[in-house]
Amino acid sequence: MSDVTPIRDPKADPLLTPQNAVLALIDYQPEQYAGVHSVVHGELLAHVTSSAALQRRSSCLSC
Amino acid sequence: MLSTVYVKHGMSGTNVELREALPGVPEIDRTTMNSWEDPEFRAAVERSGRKKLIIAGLWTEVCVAFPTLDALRAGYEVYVVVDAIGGVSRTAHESAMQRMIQAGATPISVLGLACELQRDWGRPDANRLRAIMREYFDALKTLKG
Repeated sequence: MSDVTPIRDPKADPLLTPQNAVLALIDYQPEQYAGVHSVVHGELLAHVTSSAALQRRSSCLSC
Repeated sequence: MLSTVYVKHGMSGTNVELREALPGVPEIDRTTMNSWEDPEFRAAVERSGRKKLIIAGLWTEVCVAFPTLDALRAGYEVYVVVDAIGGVSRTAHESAMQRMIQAGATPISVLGLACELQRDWGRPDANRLRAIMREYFDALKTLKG
């Protein structure tokens, strides 16, 4: 067992990394939320907030 | 990347909670419901030089589906964060998910994505992932309680 595994080349990595992906958050506006009925709003908001935390924490996710 | 529709013409900007979570991130405002047809949005994606595009937004069947379909056709790998999006009804949301997946989009979840980005608990920022998970599960517990 290792202490940590080496980081794979982001260009070749089939999985998502902060260096090989860009995250776009689109139209999270009150008027749009108001129309959403496929999911409970509180639950949706928790997930959207987590998505934002990803954008913030992965300093390279959209650079 | 953050984008909004029609704010210049009267719609409200990005919701407060999301704005607070993303200080300093510029909002690209559009008139089109299809971000991919907006030159500023598309330029921002192209400028990143990356080929994997993760999309989340409202509504699934409109502002998520249209750019997803176009970006796929333009040769991008597109990942849709299924639990951070929604549509006017379950039917509308689920049929739009099917449409996107048929076209080649990949569904992912918020926490799955968080882990995929971190990948190894031994790397730096593991504590930030722990914080995201804690906040996520706490928020859901609060909703149930």
